[in-house]
Parts: sequence; structure tokens; C-alpha cells
Amino acid sequence: MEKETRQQELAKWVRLYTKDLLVWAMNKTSDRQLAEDWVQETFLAAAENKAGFQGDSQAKTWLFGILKNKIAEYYRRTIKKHVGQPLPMEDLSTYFKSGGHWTKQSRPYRWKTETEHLTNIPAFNRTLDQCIDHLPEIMNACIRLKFLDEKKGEQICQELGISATNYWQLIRRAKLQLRDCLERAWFKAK
Amino acid sequence: MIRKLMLSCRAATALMEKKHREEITLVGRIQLSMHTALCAACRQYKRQSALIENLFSSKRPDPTEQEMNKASEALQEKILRQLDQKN
Repeated sequence: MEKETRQQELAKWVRLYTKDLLVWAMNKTSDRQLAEDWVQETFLAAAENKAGFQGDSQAKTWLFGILKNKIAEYYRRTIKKHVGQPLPMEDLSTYFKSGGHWTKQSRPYRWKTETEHLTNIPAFNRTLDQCIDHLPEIMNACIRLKFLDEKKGEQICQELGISATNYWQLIRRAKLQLRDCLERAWFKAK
Repeated sequence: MIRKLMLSCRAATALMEKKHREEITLVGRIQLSMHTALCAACRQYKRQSALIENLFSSKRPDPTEQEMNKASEALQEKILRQLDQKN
């Protein structure tokens, strides 16, 4: 009897929260199949570990917590593949001249088009995803982790032997590249 | 003295990242504000870097609302079938 109600409760959560979880997961990757897999694994893990759910926390919060861990684990594995290889960041000469000033091609100018509510525009979201996907894999994983959880990126990288300094250099490098990409693909193209 | 305090754009952009996580020293803070007061390109970079931070959290899935509803319904069914099989 108790098993039956537990199952029913879980089924209810699937109906209530799948969409919210999926939307959130798709914010963390541009790969829709991957996002769906994460959500599916979240519910399977929830079914296995229903005892881990404390009645005093919200079911939704609990499920989002599981999903967040799945995503962190995925990017942790991505970064782990690259440990021991040279990090893609020594050369900043695309962006800065030897004296440390901006190069002509990378000097940031004012973006003249609207910068508010950009993410209401589907075409912009597409461009943003494409720019993120262009980042080298390890940079992509680091910056995804940074925006998944401000502390997690640095922490996971350190566990894998990437120093805090190198981690923050990767993040800066990723931002420089993203900025260039958005400027070219969106702000100058408009 | 002023020359010593004056940062390059490369160093300034690195310091901005440090500032975000509040690890910047007092000297660093002064250096950074001196630099951005004088350098228009780094002022833009600072603004754009903050915008990029916001975009990450506000970006939305590309499919339309309708497509999203369809996708999540299909996924729901798939998950419910899998949960059934497990029991």
C-alpha cells in the first residue's frame, strides 16, 4: 500500500515538474537530447532514493537539487578528460598587443543595438548558444559550471588539479571569446 | 608612481574577473578604477562582461513555448513508462 502511494506521488511530480526541469536543463546545454536525458535520470534517481526526500523540503527543490548534481557531474567528467593536457589559454595575442593594449580587431566598442531583454528574442538565444558551443570543450565546461553554481566551478576544477588561477584565466578567456563572437554574430550583424 | 599604478588592458580585464568574486585588493581596486576612468574600451568590456553574466542565467531554450510543451509531454510519458517498468 505504501509503495503504491509513493509511486503515485512520484508520477504526480513527473507530471508537475518535467517541463520546469527541462527548461532549466536546456539553459545549461544547447544539446536538447542531453537535457532530456538529465531530466529522465533525475526522476530515475528520485525513484531509487525516494527515502532521501525529507518531507520538510519542497519536492520541486529536491528534484532541482538532483538535476543540478547530474549536470555538475556531466561537466566534471568533461573537464576530467582534459586534465594533463595543455590548457587552451596561453596565447592572448588575438585580444591584446604585446604592451597589453587591445588589438584593433578585439577592442570593445559600444554595442549600439538594444541590450535589454535580449533573451526574449529567439534568434538571439540561438546565437548565444552557438557562441557558447564554439568555445573549446574545457572552457565551455568551466563556464557552464560557473553559471550552474558560482562556487562549484572553481571547486570542481581544483579537485581535478586545475588551480584557481588557471580556472579564472579560463573563465576570462571564455568571456573574451564570447564577447568577440556575440559582437560579430549579433551586434555588428544587426 | 602613476605609471606604476597604471594597468594594461590585459591586466585590467583579469582584475575585473577577480573583482566579481571579491578577491581584489584595495590597491587592485584603485588601479582598476583608474584604468576604467581613462580607458573607454575597458569601460565597454566591463559593461559587456556583466551583460554576458546576465545572459547566461536569463537565456531561454530556443524552441517555442508550444514546442516545449510538446517535448515535455513526450518526455513525461517516456519517464512514466520507465518508472512503471522499474516497479
